[in-house]
Amino acid sequence: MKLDDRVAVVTGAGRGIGRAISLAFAKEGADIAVASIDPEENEAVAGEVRAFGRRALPYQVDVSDSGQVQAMAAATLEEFGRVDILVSNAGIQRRALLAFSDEEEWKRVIEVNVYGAYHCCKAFLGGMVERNHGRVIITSSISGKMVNPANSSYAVSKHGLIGLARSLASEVAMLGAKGVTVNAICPGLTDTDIMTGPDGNIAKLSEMLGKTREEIWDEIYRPLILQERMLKPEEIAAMALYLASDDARGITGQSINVCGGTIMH
Amino acid sequence: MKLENRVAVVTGAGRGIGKAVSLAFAREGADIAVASDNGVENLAVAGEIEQLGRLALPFEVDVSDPAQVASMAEQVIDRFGHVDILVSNAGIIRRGLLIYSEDSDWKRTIEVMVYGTYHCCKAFVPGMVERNDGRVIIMSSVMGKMSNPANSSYAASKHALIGIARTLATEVVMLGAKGVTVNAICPGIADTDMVTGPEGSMAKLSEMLGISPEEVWKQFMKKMSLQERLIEPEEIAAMALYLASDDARGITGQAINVCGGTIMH
Repeated sequence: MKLDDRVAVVTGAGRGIGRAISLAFAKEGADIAVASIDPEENEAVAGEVRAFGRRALPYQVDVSDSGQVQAMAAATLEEFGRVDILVSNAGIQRRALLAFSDEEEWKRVIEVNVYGAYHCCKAFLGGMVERNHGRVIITSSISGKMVNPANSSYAVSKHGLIGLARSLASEVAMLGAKGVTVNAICPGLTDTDIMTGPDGNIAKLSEMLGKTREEIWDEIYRPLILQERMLKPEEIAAMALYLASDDARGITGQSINVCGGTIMH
Repeated sequence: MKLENRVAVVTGAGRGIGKAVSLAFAREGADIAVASDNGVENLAVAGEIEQLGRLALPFEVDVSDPAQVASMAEQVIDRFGHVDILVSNAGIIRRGLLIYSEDSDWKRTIEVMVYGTYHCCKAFVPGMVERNDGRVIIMSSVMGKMSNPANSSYAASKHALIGIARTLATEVVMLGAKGVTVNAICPGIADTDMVTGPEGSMAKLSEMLGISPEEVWKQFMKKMSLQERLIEPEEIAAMALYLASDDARGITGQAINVCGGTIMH
Protein backbone atom coordinates (compact mmCIF):
# COMPACT_ATOMS: atom_id res chain seq x y z
CA MET A 1 0.00 0.00 0.00
CA LYS A 2 1.11 3.50 -0.77
CA LEU A 3 0.77 5.00 2.71
CA ASP A 4 1.42 1.98 4.91
CA ASP A 5 1.25 3.05 8.56
CA ARG A 6 1.54 6.75 7.79
CA VAL A 7 -0.33 9.22 9.95
CA ALA A 8 -2.31 11.96 8.23
CA VAL A 9 -4.17 14.96 9.58
CA VAL A 10 -6.94 16.10 7.26
CA THR A 11 -8.82 19.32 7.99
CA GLY A 12 -12.25 19.93 6.53
CA ALA A 13 -12.48 16.14 6.61
CA GLY A 14 -16.17 15.90 7.44
CA ARG A 15 -17.39 15.95 3.86
CA GLY A 16 -16.62 16.68 0.24
CA ILE A 17 -12.96 16.68 -0.80
CA GLY A 18 -11.62 16.28 2.75
CA ARG A 19 -13.73 13.18 3.32
CA ALA A 20 -12.67 11.69 -0.03
CA ILE A 21 -9.00 12.30 0.84
CA SER A 22 -9.40 10.74 4.29
CA LEU A 23 -10.94 7.61 2.79
CA ALA A 24 -8.43 7.38 -0.09
CA PHE A 25 -5.55 7.63 2.41
CA ALA A 26 -7.11 5.08 4.77
CA LYS A 27 -7.61 2.67 1.86
CA GLU A 28 -3.84 2.91 1.26
CA GLY A 29 -2.95 2.16 4.85
CA ALA A 30 -2.87 5.50 6.68
CA ASP A 31 -4.30 6.38 10.10
CA ILE A 32 -6.26 9.62 10.01
CA ALA A 33 -7.00 12.51 12.32
CA VAL A 34 -10.39 13.50 10.94
CA ALA A 35 -10.65 17.21 11.71
CA SER A 36 -13.46 19.62 10.99
CA ILE A 37 -15.79 21.99 12.73
CA ASP A 38 -18.68 19.47 12.62
CA PRO A 39 -18.29 16.65 15.19
CA GLU A 40 -21.11 14.53 13.79
CA GLU A 41 -19.56 14.50 10.35
CA ASN A 42 -16.15 13.78 11.90
CA GLU A 43 -17.57 10.76 13.72
CA ALA A 44 -19.20 9.46 10.54
CA VAL A 45 -15.99 9.74 8.49
CA ALA A 46 -13.96 8.25 11.37
CA GLY A 47 -16.31 5.25 11.24
CA GLU A 48 -15.66 4.86 7.52
CA VAL A 49 -11.89 5.09 8.10
CA ARG A 50 -12.09 2.37 10.78
CA ALA A 51 -14.09 0.19 8.41
CA PHE A 52 -10.90 0.04 6.31
CA GLY A 53 -9.09 -1.35 9.35
CA ARG A 54 -7.28 1.88 10.12
CA ARG A 55 -7.26 4.08 13.21
CA ALA A 56 -9.16 7.34 13.23
CA LEU A 57 -9.19 10.29 15.60
CA PRO A 58 -12.24 12.48 15.03
CA TYR A 59 -11.44 15.98 16.21
CA GLN A 60 -13.67 19.03 16.31
CA VAL A 61 -11.66 22.15 15.50
CA ASP A 62 -12.01 25.68 14.21
CA VAL A 63 -8.69 26.00 12.36
CA SER A 64 -8.87 29.81 12.47
CA ASP A 65 -8.21 29.56 16.23
CA SER A 66 -4.53 28.87 16.85
CA GLY A 67 -5.22 27.62 20.39
CA GLN A 68 -7.59 24.99 19.07
CA VAL A 69 -5.12 23.90 16.39
CA GLN A 70 -2.36 23.54 19.00
CA ALA A 71 -4.66 21.45 21.17
CA MET A 72 -5.46 19.29 18.13
CA ALA A 73 -1.75 18.82 17.43
CA ALA A 74 -1.17 17.73 21.03
CA ALA A 75 -4.09 15.29 20.89
CA THR A 76 -2.96 13.89 17.52
CA LEU A 77 0.61 13.35 18.70
CA GLU A 78 -0.63 11.68 21.85
CA GLU A 79 -2.83 9.33 19.83
CA PHE A 80 -0.48 8.54 16.93
CA GLY A 81 3.02 9.58 18.08
CA ARG A 82 3.77 11.65 14.97
CA VAL A 83 2.24 13.15 11.84
CA ASP A 84 3.60 12.30 8.36
CA ILE A 85 1.05 14.09 6.22
CA LEU A 86 -0.88 17.30 6.70
CA VAL A 87 -3.76 17.96 4.35
CA SER A 88 -4.87 21.52 5.00
CA ASN A 89 -8.23 21.44 3.30
CA ALA A 90 -10.74 23.27 5.52
CA GLY A 91 -12.36 26.09 3.62
CA ILE A 92 -15.40 28.31 3.55
CA GLN A 93 -16.80 30.88 1.19
CA ARG A 94 -18.96 33.97 1.67
CA ARG A 95 -20.16 35.27 -1.68
CA ALA A 96 -20.51 39.05 -2.14
CA LEU A 97 -19.34 41.86 -4.34
CA LEU A 98 -16.27 43.34 -2.67
CA ALA A 99 -17.76 46.85 -2.68
CA PHE A 100 -20.86 45.71 -0.80
CA SER A 101 -19.30 42.98 1.28
CA ASP A 102 -19.61 42.72 5.03
CA GLU A 103 -16.15 43.31 6.49
CA GLU A 104 -16.46 40.62 9.10
CA GLU A 105 -17.61 38.00 6.60
CA TRP A 106 -14.88 38.92 4.12
CA LYS A 107 -12.21 38.58 6.77
CA ARG A 108 -13.71 35.37 8.13
CA VAL A 109 -12.90 33.66 4.80
CA ILE A 110 -9.26 34.74 5.07
CA GLU A 111 -9.15 33.62 8.69
CA VAL A 112 -10.42 30.11 8.01
CA ASN A 113 -8.74 29.48 4.65
CA VAL A 114 -5.39 31.27 5.07
CA TYR A 115 -4.86 31.57 8.83
CA GLY A 116 -6.21 28.05 9.21
CA ALA A 117 -3.53 26.67 6.88
CA TYR A 118 -0.91 28.84 8.60
CA HIS A 119 -1.86 27.52 12.04
CA CYS A 120 -1.85 23.90 10.87
CA CYS A 121 1.49 24.20 9.06
CA LYS A 122 2.99 25.81 12.14
CA ALA A 123 1.62 23.08 14.40
CA PHE A 124 2.64 20.04 12.32
CA LEU A 125 5.68 21.04 10.29
CA GLY A 126 8.17 21.06 13.17
CA GLY A 127 8.04 17.29 13.54
CA MET A 128 8.33 16.71 9.80
CA VAL A 129 11.43 18.91 9.55
CA GLU A 130 12.96 17.19 12.54
CA ARG A 131 12.49 13.75 10.96
CA ASN A 132 13.33 15.14 7.50
CA HIS A 133 10.25 13.40 6.23
CA GLY A 134 6.75 14.62 5.51
CA ARG A 135 4.13 15.87 3.13
CA VAL A 136 2.10 19.06 3.29
CA ILE A 137 -0.81 19.22 0.86
CA ILE A 138 -2.85 22.39 0.76
CA THR A 139 -6.19 22.55 -1.01
CA SER A 140 -6.14 25.76 -3.02
CA SER A 141 -8.46 26.13 -6.02
CA ILE A 142 -8.51 27.31 -9.60
CA SER A 143 -9.77 30.46 -7.84
CA GLY A 144 -6.17 30.67 -6.62
CA LYS A 145 -5.16 31.42 -10.20
CA MET A 146 -8.15 33.19 -11.75
CA VAL A 147 -10.96 35.65 -11.17
CA ASN A 148 -13.99 34.68 -9.12
CA PRO A 149 -16.52 37.51 -9.35
CA ALA A 150 -18.68 38.17 -6.31
CA ASN A 151 -16.30 35.93 -4.38
CA SER A 152 -13.16 38.03 -3.91
CA SER A 153 -12.44 36.81 -0.38
CA TYR A 154 -12.37 33.24 -1.67
CA ALA A 155 -10.11 34.11 -4.63
CA VAL A 156 -7.82 36.13 -2.35
CA SER A 157 -7.57 33.32 0.19
CA LYS A 158 -6.92 30.68 -2.47
CA HIS A 159 -4.27 32.86 -4.17
CA GLY A 160 -2.72 33.31 -0.74
CA LEU A 161 -2.50 29.57 -0.21
CA ILE A 162 -0.37 29.15 -3.34
CA GLY A 163 2.02 31.75 -1.98
CA LEU A 164 2.09 29.89 1.29
CA ALA A 165 2.81 26.53 -0.40
CA ARG A 166 5.63 27.94 -2.54
CA SER A 167 7.29 29.79 0.33
CA LEU A 168 7.01 26.92 2.75
CA ALA A 169 8.45 24.49 0.18
CA SER A 170 11.55 26.70 0.00
CA GLU A 171 11.72 27.19 3.74
CA VAL A 172 11.75 23.49 4.63
CA ALA A 173 14.65 23.01 2.20
CA MET A 174 16.43 26.00 3.80
CA LEU A 175 15.93 24.27 7.15
CA GLY A 176 17.70 21.23 5.71
CA ALA A 177 14.60 19.03 5.39
CA LYS A 178 14.72 18.07 1.73
CA GLY A 179 12.58 15.04 2.56
CA VAL A 180 9.59 17.28 3.24
CA THR A 181 7.52 18.43 0.28
CA VAL A 182 4.87 21.14 0.25
CA ASN A 183 2.35 21.41 -2.58
CA ALA A 184 -1.06 22.84 -3.37
CA ILE A 185 -3.85 21.24 -5.36
CA CYS A 186 -6.14 23.50 -7.38
CA PRO A 187 -9.45 21.71 -7.91
CA GLY A 188 -11.84 22.98 -10.51
CA LEU A 189 -15.58 23.04 -9.95
CA THR A 190 -16.22 19.96 -7.86
CA ASP A 191 -19.38 18.17 -6.90
CA THR A 192 -19.34 19.18 -3.23
CA ASP A 193 -21.67 21.16 -0.98
CA ILE A 194 -19.87 24.41 -1.87
CA MET A 195 -21.10 23.92 -5.45
CA THR A 196 -24.14 21.66 -5.40
CA GLY A 197 -25.31 21.69 -1.76
CA PRO A 198 -28.47 23.43 -0.57
CA ASP A 199 -26.41 26.57 0.21
CA GLY A 200 -24.01 26.00 -2.67
CA ASN A 201 -23.09 28.26 -5.55
CA ILE A 202 -25.61 26.82 -7.97
CA ALA A 203 -28.51 27.23 -5.52
CA LYS A 204 -27.36 30.73 -4.54
CA LEU A 205 -26.96 31.97 -8.10
CA SER A 206 -30.24 30.38 -9.10
CA GLU A 207 -31.93 32.39 -6.35
CA MET A 208 -29.98 35.64 -7.04
CA LEU A 209 -30.59 35.60 -10.78
CA GLY A 210 -34.07 34.07 -10.84
CA LYS A 211 -32.99 31.17 -13.04
CA THR A 212 -33.26 27.43 -12.68
CA ARG A 213 -30.28 25.45 -11.43
CA GLU A 214 -29.99 23.83 -14.84
CA GLU A 215 -29.77 27.28 -16.46
CA ILE A 216 -27.07 28.34 -14.00
CA TRP A 217 -25.05 25.25 -14.89
CA ASP A 218 -25.60 25.63 -18.65
CA GLU A 219 -25.03 29.38 -18.85
CA ILE A 220 -22.44 30.10 -16.17
CA TYR A 221 -20.50 27.03 -15.10
CA ARG A 222 -20.45 24.58 -17.99
CA PRO A 223 -18.74 27.00 -20.43
CA LEU A 224 -15.89 27.42 -17.95
CA ILE A 225 -14.87 23.77 -18.12
CA LEU A 226 -13.34 22.15 -21.17
CA GLN A 227 -14.72 18.76 -20.17
CA GLU A 228 -18.12 20.33 -19.38
CA ARG A 229 -18.53 18.39 -16.18
CA MET A 230 -17.96 18.77 -12.49
CA LEU A 231 -15.00 17.01 -10.93
CA LYS A 232 -15.66 14.23 -8.43
CA PRO A 233 -14.10 14.60 -4.97
CA GLU A 234 -12.39 11.25 -5.63
CA GLU A 235 -10.40 12.79 -8.50
CA ILE A 236 -8.97 15.41 -6.14
CA ALA A 237 -8.30 12.70 -3.56
CA ALA A 238 -6.35 10.69 -6.17
CA MET A 239 -4.00 13.64 -6.71
CA ALA A 240 -3.61 14.14 -2.95
CA LEU A 241 -2.74 10.45 -2.62
CA TYR A 242 -0.21 10.78 -5.42
CA LEU A 243 1.43 13.80 -3.79
CA ALA A 244 1.46 12.01 -0.43
CA SER A 245 3.15 8.90 -1.89
CA ASP A 246 6.85 8.20 -2.33
CA ASP A 247 6.38 8.52 -6.11
CA ALA A 248 6.01 12.28 -5.64
CA ARG A 249 9.17 12.80 -3.56
CA GLY A 250 10.54 15.13 -6.25
CA ILE A 251 7.46 17.35 -6.48
CA THR A 252 7.54 20.40 -4.23
CA GLY A 253 6.39 24.01 -4.38
CA GLN A 254 3.84 23.16 -7.06
CA SER A 255 0.17 24.04 -7.39
CA ILE A 256 -1.39 21.38 -9.56
CA ASN A 257 -4.71 21.91 -11.33
CA VAL A 258 -7.27 19.10 -11.36
CA CYS A 259 -9.98 20.98 -13.20
CA GLY A 260 -11.04 19.33 -16.45
CA GLY A 261 -9.13 22.01 -18.35
CA THR A 262 -10.71 25.14 -16.83
CA ILE A 263 -7.30 26.80 -16.59
CA MET A 264 -3.92 25.75 -17.93
CA HIS A 265 -1.41 27.85 -16.00
CA MET B 1 -3.33 -2.86 -12.62
CA LYS B 2 -3.70 0.69 -13.79
CA LEU B 3 -3.23 0.22 -17.54
CA GLU B 4 -4.57 -3.27 -18.09
CA ASN B 5 -4.46 -4.13 -21.82
CA ARG B 6 -3.87 -0.54 -22.88
CA VAL B 7 -1.60 0.10 -25.82
CA ALA B 8 1.02 2.82 -25.50
CA VAL B 9 3.42 4.32 -28.01
CA VAL B 10 6.51 5.78 -26.34
CA THR B 11 9.01 7.75 -28.40
CA GLY B 12 12.55 8.20 -27.21
CA ALA B 13 11.94 4.89 -25.46
CA GLY B 14 15.46 3.48 -25.82
CA ARG B 15 16.84 4.95 -22.63
CA GLY B 16 16.44 7.49 -19.85
CA ILE B 17 12.94 8.81 -19.19
CA GLY B 18 11.36 7.04 -22.19
CA LYS B 19 12.69 3.68 -21.05
CA ALA B 20 11.49 4.28 -17.49
CA VAL B 21 8.02 5.26 -18.78
CA SER B 22 7.85 2.16 -21.01
CA LEU B 23 8.73 -0.17 -18.14
CA ALA B 24 6.39 1.56 -15.66
CA PHE B 25 3.51 1.23 -18.15
CA ALA B 26 4.31 -2.42 -18.93
CA ARG B 27 4.42 -3.24 -15.22
CA GLU B 28 0.87 -1.88 -14.99
CA GLY B 29 -0.38 -4.05 -17.84
CA ALA B 30 0.20 -2.07 -21.02
CA ASP B 31 1.62 -3.26 -24.33
CA ILE B 32 4.23 -0.90 -25.70
CA ALA B 33 5.50 0.29 -29.05
CA VAL B 34 9.12 1.06 -28.14
CA ALA B 35 10.16 3.78 -30.56
CA SER B 36 13.45 5.57 -30.92
CA ASP B 37 16.14 6.15 -33.53
CA ASN B 38 18.35 3.50 -31.96
CA GLY B 39 17.38 -0.02 -33.05
CA VAL B 40 19.67 -1.75 -30.58
CA GLU B 41 18.33 0.14 -27.55
CA ASN B 42 14.74 -0.45 -28.71
CA LEU B 43 15.34 -4.19 -28.79
CA ALA B 44 16.82 -4.18 -25.30
CA VAL B 45 13.87 -2.27 -23.83
CA ALA B 46 11.41 -4.48 -25.75
CA GLY B 47 13.10 -7.50 -24.16
CA GLU B 48 12.59 -6.05 -20.68
CA ILE B 49 8.91 -5.44 -21.46
CA GLU B 50 8.43 -9.02 -22.65
CA GLN B 51 10.00 -10.21 -19.40
CA LEU B 52 7.19 -8.35 -17.63
CA GLY B 53 4.76 -10.48 -19.62
CA ARG B 54 3.60 -7.76 -22.00
CA LEU B 55 3.86 -7.34 -25.75
CA ALA B 56 6.47 -5.00 -27.19
CA LEU B 57 7.00 -3.69 -30.70
CA PRO B 58 10.45 -2.18 -31.13
CA PHE B 59 10.41 0.39 -33.90
CA GLU B 60 13.29 2.43 -35.24
CA VAL B 61 12.05 5.88 -36.18
CA ASP B 62 13.24 9.43 -36.70
CA VAL B 63 10.17 11.31 -35.47
CA SER B 64 11.18 14.43 -37.37
CA ASP B 65 10.28 12.57 -40.58
CA PRO B 66 6.49 12.48 -41.09
CA ALA B 67 6.69 9.52 -43.47
CA GLN B 68 8.54 7.41 -40.90
CA VAL B 69 6.01 8.35 -38.22
CA ALA B 70 3.11 7.50 -40.56
CA SER B 71 4.66 4.14 -41.32
CA MET B 72 5.21 3.53 -37.59
CA ALA B 73 1.55 4.33 -36.93
CA GLU B 74 0.50 1.85 -39.59
CA GLN B 75 2.58 -0.95 -38.11
CA VAL B 76 1.54 -0.21 -34.54
CA ILE B 77 -2.16 -0.30 -35.51
CA ASP B 78 -1.50 -3.44 -37.53
CA ARG B 79 0.07 -5.13 -34.53
CA PHE B 80 -2.07 -3.83 -31.63
CA GLY B 81 -5.30 -2.68 -33.33
CA HIS B 82 -5.39 0.73 -31.65
CA VAL B 83 -3.37 3.12 -29.50
CA ASP B 84 -4.67 4.35 -26.13
CA ILE B 85 -1.67 6.33 -24.96
CA LEU B 86 0.92 8.41 -26.79
CA VAL B 87 3.99 9.48 -24.88
CA SER B 88 5.85 11.93 -27.08
CA ASN B 89 9.17 11.93 -25.35
CA ALA B 90 11.92 11.86 -28.01
CA GLY B 91 14.29 14.77 -27.58
CA ILE B 92 17.77 15.99 -28.37
CA ILE B 93 19.96 18.83 -27.24
CA ARG B 94 22.41 20.98 -29.23
CA ARG B 95 24.09 23.42 -26.89
CA GLY B 96 25.33 26.77 -28.17
CA LEU B 97 24.90 30.52 -27.73
CA LEU B 98 22.13 31.63 -30.07
CA ILE B 99 24.25 34.23 -31.85
CA TYR B 100 27.04 31.74 -32.59
CA SER B 101 24.84 28.72 -33.20
CA GLU B 102 24.83 26.60 -36.31
CA ASP B 103 21.52 27.08 -38.19
CA SER B 104 21.18 23.40 -38.95
CA ASP B 105 21.88 22.35 -35.33
CA TRP B 106 19.47 24.91 -33.94
CA LYS B 107 16.70 23.90 -36.30
CA ARG B 108 17.35 20.19 -35.83
CA THR B 109 16.35 20.53 -32.17
CA ILE B 110 13.03 22.11 -33.17
CA GLU B 111 12.50 19.47 -35.83
CA VAL B 112 12.97 16.51 -33.51
CA MET B 113 11.04 17.83 -30.54
CA VAL B 114 8.35 20.14 -31.95
CA TYR B 115 7.80 18.60 -35.39
CA GLY B 116 8.34 15.14 -33.93
CA THR B 117 5.56 15.70 -31.42
CA TYR B 118 3.37 17.26 -34.10
CA HIS B 119 3.83 14.26 -36.38
CA CYS B 120 3.09 11.77 -33.60
CA CYS B 121 -0.01 13.64 -32.41
CA LYS B 122 -1.29 13.82 -35.98
CA ALA B 123 -0.71 10.11 -36.46
CA PHE B 124 -2.20 8.82 -33.19
CA VAL B 125 -4.75 11.35 -31.87
CA PRO B 126 -7.45 10.83 -34.57
CA GLY B 127 -8.04 7.24 -33.40
CA MET B 128 -8.33 8.45 -29.81
CA VAL B 129 -10.83 11.12 -30.83
CA GLU B 130 -12.85 8.53 -32.75
CA ARG B 131 -13.05 6.27 -29.69
CA ASN B 132 -13.41 9.27 -27.34
CA ASP B 133 -10.75 7.71 -25.17
CA GLY B 134 -7.06 8.38 -24.97
CA ARG B 135 -4.10 10.02 -23.31
CA VAL B 136 -1.42 12.19 -24.83
CA ILE B 137 1.58 12.88 -22.61
CA ILE B 138 4.21 15.22 -23.97
CA MET B 139 7.65 15.48 -22.41
CA SER B 140 8.40 19.15 -22.01
CA SER B 141 10.90 20.32 -19.36
CA VAL B 142 11.43 22.98 -16.73
CA MET B 143 13.21 24.61 -19.67
CA GLY B 144 9.71 24.97 -21.14
CA LYS B 145 9.05 27.57 -18.47
CA MET B 146 12.41 29.23 -17.86
CA SER B 147 15.60 30.49 -19.45
CA ASN B 148 18.27 28.02 -20.54
CA PRO B 149 21.40 29.94 -21.50
CA ALA B 150 23.53 28.46 -24.30
CA ASN B 151 20.60 26.18 -25.04
CA SER B 152 17.98 28.39 -26.69
CA SER B 153 16.82 25.81 -29.21
CA TYR B 154 16.04 23.41 -26.37
CA ALA B 155 14.18 26.07 -24.36
CA ALA B 156 12.30 27.19 -27.47
CA SER B 157 11.27 23.61 -28.26
CA LYS B 158 10.20 22.82 -24.72
CA HIS B 159 8.20 26.07 -24.43
CA ALA B 160 6.51 25.22 -27.72
CA LEU B 161 5.56 21.75 -26.49
CA ILE B 162 3.53 23.33 -23.69
CA GLY B 163 1.73 25.35 -26.37
CA ILE B 164 0.98 22.15 -28.28
CA ALA B 165 -0.31 20.40 -25.16
CA ARG B 166 -2.61 23.25 -24.16
CA THR B 167 -3.96 23.78 -27.66
CA LEU B 168 -4.46 20.11 -28.49
CA ALA B 169 -6.24 19.62 -25.14
CA THR B 170 -8.75 22.23 -26.26
CA GLU B 171 -9.01 20.93 -29.82
CA VAL B 172 -9.87 17.34 -28.89
CA VAL B 173 -12.78 18.70 -26.87
CA MET B 174 -13.88 20.90 -29.78
CA LEU B 175 -13.92 17.67 -31.78
CA GLY B 176 -16.25 16.20 -29.17
CA ALA B 177 -13.71 13.90 -27.50
CA LYS B 178 -13.90 14.84 -23.83
CA GLY B 179 -12.48 11.44 -22.98
CA VAL B 180 -9.11 12.34 -24.45
CA THR B 181 -6.70 14.27 -22.24
CA VAL B 182 -3.51 16.01 -23.33
CA ASN B 183 -0.86 17.06 -20.84
CA ALA B 184 2.81 17.91 -20.62
CA ILE B 185 5.29 16.90 -17.95
CA CYS B 186 8.13 19.27 -17.11
CA PRO B 187 10.98 17.28 -15.59
CA GLY B 188 13.72 19.08 -13.77
CA ILE B 189 17.34 18.10 -14.25
CA ALA B 190 17.16 14.31 -14.39
CA ASP B 191 19.77 11.59 -14.13
CA THR B 192 19.80 10.66 -17.82
CA ASP B 193 22.45 10.59 -20.53
CA MET B 194 21.47 14.13 -21.53
CA VAL B 195 22.82 15.34 -18.17
CA THR B 196 25.16 12.68 -16.76
CA GLY B 197 26.11 10.69 -19.87
CA PRO B 198 29.53 10.85 -21.57
CA GLU B 199 28.21 13.60 -23.90
CA GLY B 200 25.85 15.07 -21.33
CA SER B 201 25.56 18.61 -20.00
CA MET B 202 27.86 17.91 -17.09
CA ALA B 203 30.68 16.53 -19.23
CA LYS B 204 30.23 19.29 -21.82
CA LEU B 205 30.27 22.10 -19.28
CA SER B 206 33.20 20.50 -17.49
CA GLU B 207 35.15 20.50 -20.77
CA MET B 208 34.04 24.02 -21.82
CA LEU B 209 34.92 25.60 -18.47
CA GLY B 210 37.95 23.47 -17.58
CA ILE B 211 36.53 22.37 -14.23
CA SER B 212 35.65 18.94 -12.88
CA PRO B 213 32.15 17.48 -13.31
CA GLU B 214 31.81 17.71 -9.51
CA GLU B 215 32.52 21.45 -9.70
CA VAL B 216 29.98 21.81 -12.51
CA TRP B 217 27.39 20.12 -10.29
CA LYS B 218 28.27 22.30 -7.31
CA GLN B 219 28.47 25.61 -9.18
CA PHE B 220 25.68 25.30 -11.76
CA MET B 221 23.27 22.47 -11.11
CA LYS B 222 22.97 21.75 -7.42
CA LYS B 223 21.49 25.16 -6.62
CA MET B 224 18.92 24.83 -9.39
CA SER B 225 16.84 22.43 -7.35
CA LEU B 226 15.53 23.06 -3.86
CA GLN B 227 16.19 19.42 -3.13
CA GLU B 228 19.75 19.73 -4.46
CA ARG B 229 19.61 16.44 -6.33
CA LEU B 230 18.97 14.99 -9.77
CA ILE B 231 15.49 13.62 -10.43
CA GLU B 232 15.37 9.89 -11.17
CA PRO B 233 13.75 8.81 -14.47
CA GLU B 234 11.39 6.64 -12.38
CA GLU B 235 9.94 9.77 -10.76
CA ILE B 236 8.99 11.15 -14.17
CA ALA B 237 7.62 7.75 -15.17
CA ALA B 238 5.42 7.74 -12.05
CA MET B 239 3.83 11.03 -13.13
CA ALA B 240 3.36 9.75 -16.68
CA LEU B 241 1.67 6.65 -15.26
CA TYR B 242 -0.58 8.82 -13.11
CA LEU B 243 -1.59 10.96 -16.09
CA ALA B 244 -2.21 7.83 -18.18
CA SER B 245 -4.45 6.27 -15.53
CA ASP B 246 -8.19 6.70 -15.01
CA ASP B 247 -7.46 8.68 -11.84
CA ALA B 248 -6.29 11.57 -14.02
CA ARG B 249 -9.35 11.72 -16.29
CA GLY B 250 -10.06 15.27 -15.10
CA ILE B 251 -6.55 16.59 -15.78
CA THR B 252 -6.05 18.12 -19.22
CA GLY B 253 -4.13 21.00 -20.74
CA GLN B 254 -1.68 21.03 -17.84
CA ALA B 255 2.12 21.23 -17.76
CA ILE B 256 3.14 19.58 -14.51
CA ASN B 257 6.57 20.10 -12.99
CA VAL B 258 8.48 17.19 -11.47
CA CYS B 259 11.62 19.05 -10.57
CA GLY B 260 12.44 19.04 -6.88
CA GLY B 261 11.30 22.65 -6.66
CA THR B 262 13.43 24.20 -9.43
CA ILE B 263 10.46 26.25 -10.59
CA MET B 264 7.00 26.71 -9.10
CA HIS B 265 4.88 28.10 -11.93
